[in-house]
Amino acid sequence: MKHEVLYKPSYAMLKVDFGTNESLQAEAGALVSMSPEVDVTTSLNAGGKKDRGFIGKIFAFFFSILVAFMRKIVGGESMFVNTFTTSADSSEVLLAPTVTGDIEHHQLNGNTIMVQAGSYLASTSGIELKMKFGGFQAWLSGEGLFFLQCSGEGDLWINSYGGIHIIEVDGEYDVDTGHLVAFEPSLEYQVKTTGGFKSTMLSGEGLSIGFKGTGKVWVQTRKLDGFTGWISPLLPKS
Amino acid sequence: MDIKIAHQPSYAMAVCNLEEGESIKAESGAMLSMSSNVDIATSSGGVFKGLKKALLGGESFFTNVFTAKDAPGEVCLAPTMPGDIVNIPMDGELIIQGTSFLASDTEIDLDTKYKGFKGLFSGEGMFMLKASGRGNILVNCFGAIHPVEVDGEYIVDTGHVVAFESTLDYKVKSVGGIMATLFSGEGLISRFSGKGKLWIQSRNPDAYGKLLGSHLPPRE
Repeated sequence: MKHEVLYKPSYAMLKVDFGTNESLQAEAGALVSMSPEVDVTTSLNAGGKKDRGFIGKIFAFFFSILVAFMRKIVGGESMFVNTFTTSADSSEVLLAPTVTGDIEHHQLNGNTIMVQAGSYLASTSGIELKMKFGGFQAWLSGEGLFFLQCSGEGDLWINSYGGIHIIEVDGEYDVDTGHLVAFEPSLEYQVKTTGGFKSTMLSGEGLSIGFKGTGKVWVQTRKLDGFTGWISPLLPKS
Repeated sequence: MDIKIAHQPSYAMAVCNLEEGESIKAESGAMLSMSSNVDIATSSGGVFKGLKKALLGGESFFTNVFTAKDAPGEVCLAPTMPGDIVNIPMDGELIIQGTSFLASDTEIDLDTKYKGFKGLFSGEGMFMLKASGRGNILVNCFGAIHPVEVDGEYIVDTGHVVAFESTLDYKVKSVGGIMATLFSGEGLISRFSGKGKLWIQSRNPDAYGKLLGSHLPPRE
C-alpha cells in the first residue's frame, strides 16, 4: 500500500494506492474519487469483534445501533463507515474530510490511539475500531464526546479542523473538548468543568478534558463550534 | 496575455496582464483590482443565453469583459469561495461545474449543458457550463485542485467534480447497493469513461454547507 497526504494543511486530501490483499475503511462521506474496480460496502460504525456467537451478534447489533444513534443525536459523526476493496492489483482511492483542515498519518504497531469520533478519517483493515463513550457530563452539555479506540497493526489517518498540533504531556494538561483530536491511552482523562456544572450547562463555556500521566495529545488549532458561533451573528437574519 | 496565479492554494488570485487592446472575460463580481486604463463592459452574451446561464448554470447572470485601453493593463480576479484557481489552456471543449467558472479569453464561448435527469436529486450543482474554443480558461474550486488523467474509467463523487474535457463520457449514478445509497453518505458519483483530463476539488461545498448549517442556529 502506498499513501500520501496532498494539499496540506488547509485542504488536505489523502491518496491511497492499494491491492487485492488490502482493504480500507473510511468515514462515510469521505470519498472524493476512486478507480472503477473499487467496491464500496457500507456498515454501521460502532465497531466490535467479528467472532461473536449468535446471541453476541444480536447484542452487538443493537448496541451498535444505540451507540450510532446517540452519536447522531449529540452531533457527532455519521453512523456509518464505508469499506473499500478492490479486484485489481493496484487501485486508487482519494479521501477527504468535510471540514477544512489537515490530515495526519499514524502507523500503529500494536499500540492504541483514542480518536475523537469526528476526527477519524480512515484506516486499513488491520486496525480495529471500538466506540467509547466519553462521559455523561460531556454528553449533557451538548458536546458529543465519543472516542474511537483505534488499535492493531496498520495505518490510521486522522483529520482536524485547522492545523494539528502535538503536545507531549508529562504530568497534567487540560484541553478544550472542541479542540481535542486524539490522545494516547497511557493518559488518564477526565471531563472537567470550570465554574461548576451549572455554568457549563448554561454558558457553554469551560468544558475541558484533564489529562494525567505521560503520553501524546493531538489538538486542532480551530474548533467548528467556535467558527459557527463567530459567523452566525454576522449572517443576515433572513 | 500573461496570467499568474498567486496565493495558492487556499486563497488563490489571478493576476492578468493585458496587452494594449487585449480583453478578458470574467464572472461578474470577480474583479478585485485593476489599472485605471482598463475598461469594463458588461455583457450577458445575448439576453436569452445569459438568462439560461443564470437559471441553469448556477452562475451570475452577467459576465464582464475587461479591456486594456491605450496601454497595457492589469486585472486581478478572485472567486468568492476559498480555494485554488487553475489556468487551463484549451483547444476544444471543456465541461465546467456551474460555480467553477472564473474567467476566460473572450474567444471562448460559454454555454449551459444539462447534466442529466439524475442530477436533479443530487442537490449538488445540477448544471454544467460548456466552454468551447481556443485559449485560456481560469477555473476555481473549493479547496485544492487535483488533476487526473483518465484513460479508461474513473469514479468521482459528484460534489468534487470541477471540470473535465468533453472527450470524456460520464454517467451519474448512486454508489454501491441500497444500503450504500441510503447510508454511505456518498450521495451520487459520476462515472467517467474515455480518455481525457479531469479536475477535482479536495472539498465538497455541499457537504461543507450541510455540516456548517447543522451548527448554526436555524435561519428565520
